[in-house]
Amino acid sequence: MRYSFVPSIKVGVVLLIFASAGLAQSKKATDWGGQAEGPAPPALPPINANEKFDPHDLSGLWRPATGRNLTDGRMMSSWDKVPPRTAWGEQVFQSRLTGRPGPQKKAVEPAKGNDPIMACNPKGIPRLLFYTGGQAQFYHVPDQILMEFQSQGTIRHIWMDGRELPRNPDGRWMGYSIGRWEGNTLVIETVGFDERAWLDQWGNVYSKDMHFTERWRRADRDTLEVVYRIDDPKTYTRPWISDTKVWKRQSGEIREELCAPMDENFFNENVRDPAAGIFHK
Amino acid sequence: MQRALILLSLFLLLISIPVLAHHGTNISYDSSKPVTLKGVMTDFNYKNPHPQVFFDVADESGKVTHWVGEVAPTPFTLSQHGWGRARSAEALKPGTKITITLGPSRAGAPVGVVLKILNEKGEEILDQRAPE
Repeated sequence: MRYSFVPSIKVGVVLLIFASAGLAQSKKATDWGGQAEGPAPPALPPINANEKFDPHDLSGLWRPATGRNLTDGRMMSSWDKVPPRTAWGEQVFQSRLTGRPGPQKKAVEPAKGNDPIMACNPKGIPRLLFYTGGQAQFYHVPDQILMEFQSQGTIRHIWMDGRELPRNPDGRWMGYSIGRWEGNTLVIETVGFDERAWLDQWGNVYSKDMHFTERWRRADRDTLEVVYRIDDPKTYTRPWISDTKVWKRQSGEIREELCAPMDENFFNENVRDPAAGIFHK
Repeated sequence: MQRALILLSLFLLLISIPVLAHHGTNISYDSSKPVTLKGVMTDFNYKNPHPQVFFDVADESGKVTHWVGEVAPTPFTLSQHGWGRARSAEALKPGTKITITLGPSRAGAPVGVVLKILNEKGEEILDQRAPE
């Protein structure tokens, strides 16, 4: 009886060695074959409906999902739900020349447009939230939640220490954000915007005085749901509340997706502009 | 019926790609009138915002036209679908003979958004799927 544990201990030790070897293997340098990133990550394991998750933990790698319509995930709502604009809002909206077709404005060739991101200017908040082509890593750190957006390699700070929103802040591309938990919903409020940034790729508008609210909820292990709200009397005659947007958890790691002006200029001169009949040579 | 549905789906997928492209929208390109060209690769640029393929096309008289194609997916999306920089550059290295289908520039320039690239063996190069 006294020796009956020995085989179990041996098995345990062997398993531990194998486990360590496996761990070491996964952290060992691999040949990336000249690629900027490593091999494609494995898919996430399927969700078990009973799987436990912490609704107050949003950390991980996420990506906004798209749906049937082009505006899904990429814009606050469908066009019929865009609130009426003020005279100022309409004037700014019409001055924005985009290559993205929409029902309220004629599109132009991108070469003749004025979307600020075509010259690597910041997308800013909220537009980063509507970029479905990229991922974002969320972190919980003391007193803050950080959102690291793959697009343009941008970090967003959301203060969770109970501070109040600043009054009369100067404008920033990312605004100034505070957050709090209401039950299992993370409520983020942001003020102090740079109104040169576009809300989305259609050139929708917000002013520096916008109050932007997000209500995030972790629906299951792999799904975040969020509703955005714009209160901006300078631009819209009533609040604009988004559809419920879905973000899905991603495997792998955040990638480098910087906008390098030298690459953007090369693309514009060699592809975008000639496509519209504009030649530089 | 099933075949017709598959063909319709493929057609819709084909025409939807340029719409989803970030910079190259169907404002600049007319993907409803695709052109297929036989060319020889001269350069390939696997960079943001969209990779570019440079290739020469010779007409019957031997006159060569320098073409450029905009690859709608970004490098990030291509790499997620298994087309990283090294594999893509190897498949499209200078001198490679390609058969390429483009949605041509509406301005009539030798530029287009890439719909399909085949190599000499008839294998498809790059994955033209846009982000989900």
